[in-house]
Amino acid sequence: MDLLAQVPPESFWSQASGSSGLYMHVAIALIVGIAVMFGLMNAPTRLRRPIVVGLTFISGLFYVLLYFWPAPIARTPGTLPVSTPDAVGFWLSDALTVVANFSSILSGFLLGLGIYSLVRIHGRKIAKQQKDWGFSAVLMASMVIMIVFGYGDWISKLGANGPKMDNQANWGFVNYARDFFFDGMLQQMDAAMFSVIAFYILSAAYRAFRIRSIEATILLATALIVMLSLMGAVEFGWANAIGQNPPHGFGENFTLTSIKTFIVDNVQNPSLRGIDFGIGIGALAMGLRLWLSLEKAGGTA
Amino acid sequence: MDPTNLSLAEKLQSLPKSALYIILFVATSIPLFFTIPIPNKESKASIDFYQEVQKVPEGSTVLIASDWTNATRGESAGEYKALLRILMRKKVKFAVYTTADPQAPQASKDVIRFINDERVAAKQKPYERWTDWVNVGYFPNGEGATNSIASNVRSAFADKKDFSPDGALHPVMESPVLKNIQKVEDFPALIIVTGSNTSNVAIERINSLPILLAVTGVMGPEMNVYYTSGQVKGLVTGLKGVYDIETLMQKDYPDQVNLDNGAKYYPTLHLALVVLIVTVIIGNLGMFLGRKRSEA
Amino acid sequence: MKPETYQLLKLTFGVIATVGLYTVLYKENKFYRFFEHVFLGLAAGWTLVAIWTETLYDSWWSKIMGSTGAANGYWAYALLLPIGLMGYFVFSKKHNWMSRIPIGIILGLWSGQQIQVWWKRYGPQLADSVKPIFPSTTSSFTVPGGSKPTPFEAAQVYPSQAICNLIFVITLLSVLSYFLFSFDLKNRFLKNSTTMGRWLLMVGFGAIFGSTVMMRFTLLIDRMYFIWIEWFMHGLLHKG
Repeated sequence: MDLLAQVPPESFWSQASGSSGLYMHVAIALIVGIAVMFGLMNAPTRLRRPIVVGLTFISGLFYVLLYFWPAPIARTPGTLPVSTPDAVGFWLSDALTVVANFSSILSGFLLGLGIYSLVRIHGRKIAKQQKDWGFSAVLMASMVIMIVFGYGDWISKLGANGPKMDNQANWGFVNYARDFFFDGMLQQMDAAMFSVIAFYILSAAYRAFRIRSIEATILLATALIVMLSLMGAVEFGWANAIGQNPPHGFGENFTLTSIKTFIVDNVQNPSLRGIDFGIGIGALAMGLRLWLSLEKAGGTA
Repeated sequence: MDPTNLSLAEKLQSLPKSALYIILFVATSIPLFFTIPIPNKESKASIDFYQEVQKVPEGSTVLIASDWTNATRGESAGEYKALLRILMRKKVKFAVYTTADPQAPQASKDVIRFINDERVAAKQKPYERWTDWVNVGYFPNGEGATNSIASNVRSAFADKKDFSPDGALHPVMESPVLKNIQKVEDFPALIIVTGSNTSNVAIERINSLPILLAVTGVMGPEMNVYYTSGQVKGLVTGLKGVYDIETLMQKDYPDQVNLDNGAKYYPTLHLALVVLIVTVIIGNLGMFLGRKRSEA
Repeated sequence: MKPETYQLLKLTFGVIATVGLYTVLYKENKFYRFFEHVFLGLAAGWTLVAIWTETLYDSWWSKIMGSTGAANGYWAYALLLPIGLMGYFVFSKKHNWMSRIPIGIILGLWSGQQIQVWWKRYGPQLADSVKPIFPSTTSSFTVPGGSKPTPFEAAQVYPSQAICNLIFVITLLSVLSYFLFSFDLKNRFLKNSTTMGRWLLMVGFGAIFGSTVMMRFTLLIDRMYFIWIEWFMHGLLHKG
């Protein structure tokens, strides 16, 4: 059984690049795909859930089989399978890259969903001139600008001039524009959005961090120790104050670093591990439920 | 509450937000104008990270997952710069891929260009694309891609292309950087610089080569769990971690540029943290004074 | 335009955009909303560019078209387009069930990996969590310093290590009991165990808070560095 990635050249699955045979096969594949899509649109309601459930199960089955099926032993390039189970093992490990590729490609197509949704919402606002439609126009304009210059920059780097474009001296207008909007605007605004939270953390900590209960006291005390240990100057001063500069003897256990390490190794790590184990059990259960479509909403018409 | 007739306790508990914001703005700005050397005791995790990178043989190729964008530039760029400086000084080749964000490959290329400019200014040979490093590209499905890399890295990277010196795009596996790599175990290390949880995805799927992590502060405690269990051989966490690596580099490469983002930002971090601690103390002082008043 | 002029222009617009976003700290305003929408538009545009240039072009389009004289084209990859486009039926009232097909395939692939993932992620941690809580030697209370220990000496568990391990195990079990026994308990021992688990969890959260604060403050410091040093000092005043 041959899968796409293993097929030798010029076979049913692959044709020479640029050949009419290839274009014909691609056109047929697209027509068949669209026909299947129309077929699904007219599928009876009772078949909808089985289709979705079946495809989900088959997709998950690949990785489950990959994990549980005996893997080829000491396989080197050119080795052939010696039995049917071995052949299945070979097929599974060879198919892994193709399956990963398929999921990457599908994920790539689905990433456009968010963009499509954005365009729909803001396009409607502009068309109907709803409240604040001006901002929507700004959003769409920014998006178009980034797309035009982003693709333009990429196209300019294809072909023989590609490596030269690493040198700014060879840039044209499109490259400068991409650099301006990506590095100069997008990257800086991305960082600014993330950094605004620092202000909110300060005001929230001031208002909410009160020693009102045992839990709050423990949280505050640990946070204080961690923050103090992050400050090299405080660590240095503390070590000097207790005569541990340089650290020596039993007293080294009372430096800020040692106290923090003790708390991290013996209390923080096990408590985070406990959380992790709980989350892990939940994730495993959720994985099984999704694979077997036991979720209530999964696949219903 | 009558704002003109507040007790001390009430005043301490009701400092205006704008005042706090201005204090933080000033505290994070002024120290940047001064060079303030800060003594540093490197953490064991940072030391292990540095030593593992130093163990990588000259001329070999490491695999780097550069999963950060400018959103976490403050920490991730410093980690990435320090890492690239060490690798370039050791003449270690690297292949960079990402599973996190479409912006990440560009952020990575910008830093490589920055370090190359620095090397050219120091009359050192810059790292050449294709010969010394390749950009493998972005994989939107991180789980599938990482599984594929762990199982058959040549297949996983088979479709990825980068620019060779002739100007054309060629499969990255044909480059001098990757042509001798047959399986993922041929890399001496996988180094992940990330601002998100892509490190979890790698740890869950790749366990046949040493993994080194450089993460942001918020991921540090969670990743420390993997470091203590031995799943990760070295861990750099946040700005403190960046400063640790820079001070370690300063000991081994005293004549070269080592102190960068870490040294520039670390003193300012001290003042910012002091502001936070003091405001929390003020708030609690106000609460205690208020309680005493009501009891009296 | 001179490179220095372009660089200054780029930095200036970056600073204006940064300050524009920071105005939200005062209150929501049109200046902030303008830059917020510029940011969203640029991010959406870049995502579309990167989907094609970083993923679909190499992994899908080049696979279909091949490369003259170098690689054949695989026509079957074209079938992925209709499957991917089915995801967009989520916006259709009548046919939105079809969007579950590509999503189901991706979720199926994810969930199928969970068994392998679970063991690789938690197996080593489970092994590391089983620590000896009784000392194997009392020759010294703490781990002796000095010369490199022999393998036999290195394998010993000293009383100080045993105490630390005991604290570790008690913490882990208390935290697990807090999560697992999330129903009304009558047993006093279990009740106290869950309470202790909650307290010990606070230690973990305190550490997370401390690290988070470092990260957020560092991001803010980086922005201040961008404004004051990169733009103001280097760009405008040409100092440093």
